[in-house]
Amino acid sequence: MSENYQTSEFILPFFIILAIYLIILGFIGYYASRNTKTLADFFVLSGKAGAIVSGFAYFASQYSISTFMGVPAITFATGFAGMSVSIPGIAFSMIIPALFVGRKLLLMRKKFGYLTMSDYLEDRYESKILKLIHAVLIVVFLIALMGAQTVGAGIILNTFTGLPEWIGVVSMGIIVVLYCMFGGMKGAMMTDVIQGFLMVTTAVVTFIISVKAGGGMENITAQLAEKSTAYLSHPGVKNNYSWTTYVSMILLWSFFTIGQPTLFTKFFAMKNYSTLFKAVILGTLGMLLSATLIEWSGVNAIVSLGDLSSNDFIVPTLLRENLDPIFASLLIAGIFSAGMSTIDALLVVATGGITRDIYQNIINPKASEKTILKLSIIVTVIVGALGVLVGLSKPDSIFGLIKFAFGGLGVWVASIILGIYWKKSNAIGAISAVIIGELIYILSKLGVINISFGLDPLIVSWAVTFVLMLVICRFTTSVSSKTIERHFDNLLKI
Amino acid sequence: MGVFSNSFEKKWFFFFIFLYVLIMIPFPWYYNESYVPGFFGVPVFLYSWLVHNSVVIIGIILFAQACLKRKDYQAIEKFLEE
Repeated sequence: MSENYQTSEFILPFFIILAIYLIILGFIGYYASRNTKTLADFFVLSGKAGAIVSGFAYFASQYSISTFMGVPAITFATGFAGMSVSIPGIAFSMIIPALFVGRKLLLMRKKFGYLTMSDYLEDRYESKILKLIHAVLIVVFLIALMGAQTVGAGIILNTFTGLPEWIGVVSMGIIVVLYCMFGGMKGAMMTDVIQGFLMVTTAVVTFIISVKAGGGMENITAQLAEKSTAYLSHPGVKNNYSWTTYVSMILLWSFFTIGQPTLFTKFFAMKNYSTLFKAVILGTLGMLLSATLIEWSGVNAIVSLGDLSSNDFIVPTLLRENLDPIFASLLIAGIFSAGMSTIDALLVVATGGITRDIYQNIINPKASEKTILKLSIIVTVIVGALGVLVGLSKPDSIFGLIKFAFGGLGVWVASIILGIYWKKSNAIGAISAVIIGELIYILSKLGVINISFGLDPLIVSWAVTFVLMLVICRFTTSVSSKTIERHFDNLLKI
Repeated sequence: MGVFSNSFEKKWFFFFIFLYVLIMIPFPWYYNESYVPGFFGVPVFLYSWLVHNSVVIIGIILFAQACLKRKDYQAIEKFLEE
């Protein structure tokens, strides 16, 4: 099948729809900026987010451009086994973090005024060093995550218009920076509602056209079975979705999301428990619907699209081949949305890491709220530019970049869980364990060491971190009794 | 509010963890190295995942209702809204 789709009939509708969509987002960003007066507004919406905004924001932040491009590329290459990447454990994506930490975090934000994940770590472990290490690492990994989103934007632009990929990478960076610069978390979460809605619509329509293009579901599965039944069973035709990978993926996208600062802080933004539960239900339904249908579309496309030079093209190609230019462009905006809704959350959190956790904490503790707010705008631009640079250099595939950065942040789960559930956890244990855990993770990813037993390296790195923390904290001094009382004995006393 | 703080919390925690662990066990209806066709020839494991996810979502709804009816949650809810 030809991949030279750069026909003029698509260019005009694509840009018109994209321009309208971006104007709407710009308007929301402007509206949000008028209501962003304090740091608490900028970073956690002052804990006033409702259920719809929270649910959509959580799902839209977790599901990125990778869900719409990288993952369908996997199912296209592997078959139904590739859907193990997120579908089996999808309903646990929000309830596991909410069960373990979410409900306590919501209460802690109200009681202790946390704005970032690093705020929590500093307060619980009485350690500015731990806060600094966390802030530096999250900025590094979040920039890599941002880069992955912009890579996708470049591919979409190139597929639809024939323009060079770098224009897509740079444009997406500029747009998101603009509405996050002034609107902060409010701008990000409000736009997430539109973006989440578009993502679900894109998934539903893509699935329908993929079934139609393949001649019906029965025909698709029959043709796949004729090619090879490996398309319809584990570990897939590429032999890459074994049981250990299946288990790794379930754990990765649910339990290890606890360590993702962009999702962690969503609990700080929620108004109350009623909001939290409604958001969990709404967000889970959104994830289940959009991920299932878009990943399934990748499998269906094996029959209708045949060979492509890059599998990342699957969804844009399906839309382009089967819909009229205007409707196709509208849905492509849905994929752009997936990227933008993730970058905006990353930008706000990375900005918080630099301005609050590094600048205010270490460099200038006397900085006023106004100064930090102004600095946040400048930092948003710089961090956004760094994300664009990663996107331009394209060091790995979209999914590869995301998995790497996600794992780097996931190592922190041990210090968060033990901080919440074990009084003896202390800074020495947390710092030593995290440094060793990160080293093991990065060396495993680079292939220098291999101790993962077929699981994702994050799982083994996390297990080492967890055991190390238990051992070190057991034999070292706990934090002050005052902190223990606040975090354990008195937390639920209202 | 913590997963082990009282019998109510423990009961629900173990309910969700049971479902969480269950989906990871390589039962043939979740993970299968042979092709077992279901409706329209789609592998059965995909339908099993969807049923499993639906049970979890129903569990979340019931858990949410049960939590919000409890006095300890209502007290915190009032505090959060102040």
